[in-house]
Amino acid sequence: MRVLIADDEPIARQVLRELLEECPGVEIAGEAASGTETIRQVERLDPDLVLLDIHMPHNDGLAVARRLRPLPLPLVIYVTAYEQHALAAFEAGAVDYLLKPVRLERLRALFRKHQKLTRGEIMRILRISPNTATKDLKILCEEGLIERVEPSSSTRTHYFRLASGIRPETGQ
Amino acid sequence: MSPAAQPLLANWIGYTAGALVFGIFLVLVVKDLAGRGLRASWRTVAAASMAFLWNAGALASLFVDSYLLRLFTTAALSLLPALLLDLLVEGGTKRLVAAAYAVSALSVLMHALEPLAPGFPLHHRTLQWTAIGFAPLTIAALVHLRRQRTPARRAGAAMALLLFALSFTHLHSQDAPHAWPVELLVHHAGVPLALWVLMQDYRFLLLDAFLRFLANILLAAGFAWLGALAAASIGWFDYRSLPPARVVLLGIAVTAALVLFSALRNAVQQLLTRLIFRRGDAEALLERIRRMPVKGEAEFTGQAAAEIAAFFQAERQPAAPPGAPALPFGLGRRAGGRPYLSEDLALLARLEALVNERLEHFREQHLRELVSQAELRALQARIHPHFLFNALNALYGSIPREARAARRAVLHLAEIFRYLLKGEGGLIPLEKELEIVEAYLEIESLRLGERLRWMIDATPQARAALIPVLSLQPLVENAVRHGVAPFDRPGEVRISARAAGGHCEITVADTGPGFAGDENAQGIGLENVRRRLALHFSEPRFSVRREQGLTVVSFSVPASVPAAQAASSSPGIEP
Repeated sequence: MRVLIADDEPIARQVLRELLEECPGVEIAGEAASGTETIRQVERLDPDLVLLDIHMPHNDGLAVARRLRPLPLPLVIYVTAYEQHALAAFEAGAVDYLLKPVRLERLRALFRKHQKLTRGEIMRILRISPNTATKDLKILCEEGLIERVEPSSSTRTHYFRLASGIRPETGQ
Repeated sequence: MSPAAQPLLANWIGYTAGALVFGIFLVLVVKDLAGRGLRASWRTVAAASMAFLWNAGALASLFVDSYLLRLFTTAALSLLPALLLDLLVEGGTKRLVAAAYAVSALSVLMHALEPLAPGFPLHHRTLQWTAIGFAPLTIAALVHLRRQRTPARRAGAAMALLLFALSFTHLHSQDAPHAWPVELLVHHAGVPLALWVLMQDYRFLLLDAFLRFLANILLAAGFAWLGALAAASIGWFDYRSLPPARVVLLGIAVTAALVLFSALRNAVQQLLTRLIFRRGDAEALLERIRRMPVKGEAEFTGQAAAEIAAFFQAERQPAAPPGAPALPFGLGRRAGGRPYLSEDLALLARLEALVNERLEHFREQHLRELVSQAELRALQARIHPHFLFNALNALYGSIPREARAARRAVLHLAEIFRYLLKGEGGLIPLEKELEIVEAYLEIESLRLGERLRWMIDATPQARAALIPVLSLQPLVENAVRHGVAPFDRPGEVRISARAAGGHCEITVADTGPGFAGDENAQGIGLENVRRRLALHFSEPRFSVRREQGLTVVSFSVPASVPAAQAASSSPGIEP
């Protein structure tokens, strides 16, 4: 799973980096220090998941989450010091949240929980090359290769909930 | 008047007073409810109606012997205790209330069947049985009220007395002669007692007027009585030779005349003031000023002064020279050179007091707002959650990865602070508080090293029990602070939680020497916990004791149903 770290504080990025290094199967795709940079990095690096700080200069976390919402990936997990904006973050399309300082156990549990939603898992199920980018996934979806996804479904949650229901043995 | 007629006179007076009091009460309650809808307090209205019908019906029964009237009266009397019980335990046990209504309904039914059993004193027996039936219900209600700790608890005693009075009335044999003071006391004790119960539940807008009116009537009746006594003693008019009905009617007439006189006197005074002294309605002016909104001090004073000057038709002086005697509100000469009369000066004094009172109230409120704002700001300045947790995060990051214990301590600290910031309002599963207790003990272990040993032993069922936030942690903190930290030798804190018999017993024990000589320091922490527990549970069974060389603090909470655990799961969208 490829993860992008988005936080304006260098030390907060460092903490997350250290923690991610201790999570098996997780690869740090890159980092971003502002909202605008996060958008740019998502386009460039195409990560599976973004750990997104809610308070950032230039396009704050909520705005970034809203921008990323229509895309099937990356998943957005918002990271905050205090649970004040939890509801707004979920409304903006985040799938989960972490509280600073982050506990390693919590981070690991969260990856386990959302792994099914990320591309690695879908690749395994559909036996598609892991290099397939988000836009290609979208095309696959449009071409009907990911059978159970309804073309009309726009929210990511819906999309993956259906995709993860496909069983590897039968390929359905 | 013969001695035999005296109980009749007592009944006369009692029922008349009862009908009057409950009639007025009913009118005032209905008037007060007109704007709010009757639904909220239908019980109060119903109980007051029944009390009124009972007294009015009983009064009428003294003149007319009719089956229907008696049925009507006893039905009202039978329903009254059930309604009052319902009022008292409102929102409480439905079964108890239902039983009360059932007893009342049965009583009404049996009264209705009276003509079917001629010769048998069914009416009388039914009243006895009703009274006996309500005794256990009243006891159950009292127990319920004690447990609920509601303010209505105080009225419980009144309810008990009322039922006692009602039952006593009907338990005596029908023909036994009674001394009339006993008759009056017992038979009619129900009137003030029922009123007391009603007023516990319902304090209406015109309560003061109602009480004042009652006092007026009592005073007038007292004067009438004294007058009659005086007239009798000088041999001018001997009321004792008259039939009791005449005496009562005369008493009522004189009392009513006195009350009417006082009302008329006020009206005549006001009329005189308006017509002869050509002054407006002073009460209306006071009322206007009482209702004038206060937005700012100067604004309010200006408005009030303008209103008052217009009322007195007076000029307004911009400012009186210092030292010169001046009227309040900058009032000057009145139109047409009319002088200020003593009445005017008295009114001005009242107006001044009113304006000052309102200004004082405004200042107080303003000050309170400022204080609460300041408190809020102080609170925010003291600890801004974002700042705090970001700082802890930075601290965590700046500790080398190898210093695991230090890093873990920061995580524990953050957890404790987050828990504290949640506030102290609600209930939380013991499990959650145990997490904080563990975090706290880890930090203390860092400080005290080998000297602090601790163990937590809680069954899964106990972990699901709901406890007030921060009811266990302070006890553990106390145990560490007083039982372990002050000593050189190693000490131990044992926390255990067991669920049994619908209760969950939570115990904190330490190996310290107990409370000798250090009671105050312990007292505050324990008292806080005790209060927090009492806020949520009627029987927390909080106890502090020495047991096998340990200092043991324990409390118990209701054991929780497993569903309570659902509330603690974290949010998030499940795949």
